[in-house]
Amino acid sequence: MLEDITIGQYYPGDSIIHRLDPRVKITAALIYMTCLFVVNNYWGYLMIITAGLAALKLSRIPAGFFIKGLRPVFLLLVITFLLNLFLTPGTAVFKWGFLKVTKEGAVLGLYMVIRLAMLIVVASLVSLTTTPVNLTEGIERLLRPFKKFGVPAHELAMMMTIALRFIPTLIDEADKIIRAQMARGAVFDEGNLIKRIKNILPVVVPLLVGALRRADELATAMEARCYRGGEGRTRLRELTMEFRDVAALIVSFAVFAISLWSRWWL
Amino acid sequence: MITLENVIYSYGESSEQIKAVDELSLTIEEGQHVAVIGPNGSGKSTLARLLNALLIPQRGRVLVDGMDTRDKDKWWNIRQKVGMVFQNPDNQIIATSVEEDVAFGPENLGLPPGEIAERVKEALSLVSMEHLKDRAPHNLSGGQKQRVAIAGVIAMRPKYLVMDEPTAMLDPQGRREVLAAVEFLKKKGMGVIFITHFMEEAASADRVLVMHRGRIVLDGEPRWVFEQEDLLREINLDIPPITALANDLRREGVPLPGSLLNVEELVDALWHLLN
Amino acid sequence: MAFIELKNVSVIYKPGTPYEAVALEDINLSIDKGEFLGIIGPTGSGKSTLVQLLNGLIKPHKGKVFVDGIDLSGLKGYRLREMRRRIGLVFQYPENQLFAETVVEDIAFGPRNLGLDEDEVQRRVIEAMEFVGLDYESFKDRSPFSLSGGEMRRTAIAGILAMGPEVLVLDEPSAGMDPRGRGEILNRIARIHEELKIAVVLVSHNMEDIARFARRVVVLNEGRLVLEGTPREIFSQGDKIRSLGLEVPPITELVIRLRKRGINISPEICTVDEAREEILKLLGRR
Repeated sequence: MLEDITIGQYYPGDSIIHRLDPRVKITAALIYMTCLFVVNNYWGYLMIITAGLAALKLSRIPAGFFIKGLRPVFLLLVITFLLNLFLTPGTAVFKWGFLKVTKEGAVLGLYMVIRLAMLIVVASLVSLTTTPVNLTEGIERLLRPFKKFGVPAHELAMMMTIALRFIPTLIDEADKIIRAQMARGAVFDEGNLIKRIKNILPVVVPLLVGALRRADELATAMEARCYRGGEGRTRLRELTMEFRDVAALIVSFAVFAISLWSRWWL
Repeated sequence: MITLENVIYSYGESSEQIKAVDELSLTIEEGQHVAVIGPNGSGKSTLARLLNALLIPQRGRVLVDGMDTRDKDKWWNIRQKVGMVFQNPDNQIIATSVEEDVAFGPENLGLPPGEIAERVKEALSLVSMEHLKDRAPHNLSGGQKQRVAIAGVIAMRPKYLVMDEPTAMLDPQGRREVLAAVEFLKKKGMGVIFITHFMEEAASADRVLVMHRGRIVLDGEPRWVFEQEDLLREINLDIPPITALANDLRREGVPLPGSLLNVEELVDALWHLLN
Repeated sequence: MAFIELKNVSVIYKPGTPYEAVALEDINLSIDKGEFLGIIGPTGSGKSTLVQLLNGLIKPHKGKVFVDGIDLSGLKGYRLREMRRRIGLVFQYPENQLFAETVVEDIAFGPRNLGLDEDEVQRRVIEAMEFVGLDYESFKDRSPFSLSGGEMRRTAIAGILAMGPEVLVLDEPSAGMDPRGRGEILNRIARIHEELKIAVVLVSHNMEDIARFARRVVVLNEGRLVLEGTPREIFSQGDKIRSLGLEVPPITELVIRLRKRGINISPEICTVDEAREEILKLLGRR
């Protein structure tokens, strides 16, 4: 399950999508996600899906990766579809007891599934094509203008860096602790919910204790290396906008304009 | 020059205070290679943290090139001058790639990007890690991680490098890698203050300090320190087997020259006696 | 049949993915009741995989593991847990698994999972603490997280010991400890081995410890069993050991170098006392 999550993973490559400035990628993804909620008819959805798939194609990442990324939310997608299918009022095409399937429900359910799926696919696309370093740098730079409204841009980015750095370490550690407790006769897959929660304590407690110890040591190590927040800090690589970045932004805004047009004038 | 004057540091509540460092005075010259040995709880790590203002003396003072660590305004200068490598290689790597991690210190110093890149390249080559610069830290071996940590510190161009048991959590292969990196840095003129509980690792130092209960009980050249077998055993330090054997033979009246530190020296001495 | 038998065992990691790697290949190994076996090998040679095969935490892809004549591959549920009791496995840095509020509660976790009654659990906890050198009265109510590194590790070992294993498997029990702590842990293990008459399987990078305690040693390299013998037989092949990236005990190193210079000293010496006596003899002082 854990290895199926594609958000937060990086897929090495040098496609045009990989080479885009992370700020552009994040902005474009946000615009795209807005578009998903702007479009409301057949032509609009067709356009937005085409645009999304084109971006995936340009990244040269195997399609299987994105499908794998949808696996953890598969159940959510099914539930979304069914809820819309049964609970949308309209012309009934099928009736079974108190359950009523409507034509409107089927269409709306499909639209909702497309929205959710494309949302996750595009978010995965950003993280799969951007190194963690560039991703956090992009977020920090995008949030910087909001600093005067109290948004801790640098701190958020640093937290994200450390999270990305330590997630694999903590997964390894959790695996080791689970094995060690199994060697002491622990059982994790038996009993009711309360019993299962109680059974997981011998894993959660040491994991938490270990994480706190790591955090403490890491803070000391950062201080020893003269870390004192974002003030006066420079970066190894400064982000620079290229022609392709400008082009990508123009395309994103064009897609946005078409979405608006499809909603109100088509 | 780093000077400690009657430094006291203790942990815990005032009622049951344990003095981790007790009335300690010490001078470390620039470029000197000092090994600090002592059992767990002897105050070695506390001493290390006092050297770069991670801990501030409760009594007495620590001067780094004349800068008093009690002066908050000097902390960043002091920490840049006195670099520090810790025991657990995992818990001192901050960034998600080797190169970015080495850049972390220079970035904090506010250096221009070109200069940072230059220093990162140089630091990675000093520990032979350039070829792995794009790797994610969790995909490295213990020895490689610890070399990244060393590079991250030397990229700040410190004058003194304090290493707090950098080999304690490594396998023999990793230990060899780290010790080789340290030897190389020493040759380049870096002053290394190397804290360890392996006596063998102290043998190549200019000077060995033996700590016990917050005080320095022996201070001198490795040869002389290793000869003080009774005192070392009394404070629960292990004599390296080769030194122990040489000391044993000398006690039996075998005319071996001065204290012998490594296998090579003892082999030479015995070969001369047996031929 | 020996107490533990590994027959043509292979283990593959992440089979069918691009990360596929052979962890162990065609291992044949038997471990007798009451013996003291040392396992050495460079990092990544498969030692940790091997020890987890012994109690069924890892299943072989090929071959079979038998304990007391029982094939581990068929075991499930209670019977698998019973097997994990019989083969007590202490992981590297076992203090990282401590979780309970008190030392006693933590050590009791294993025995309670076995479904023992409370009197028996307490009896075993007291006995295990005695064996690892933790005074029951002064430690029983302390939090495991308030202990020193060495005490935490001994608490973790007691947690396995209290389950009453017939074989105690330890993966680098002295890693990261100072010489005093290391000596203490190993002496305790040696005492457990002698007094409880249980077999010990010791995985270690420390060749001195292996030379001192193990009666038989196996060497792993790249997932294969490459050498097997007494510590003396193994370490006298200094060059071979070193070519695998391993070290020989310092005294053995001395002996090997003296022999290379043409001095006729027995190649099977590996302790300081033996070396002193032998050298004094050669010098005509004995």
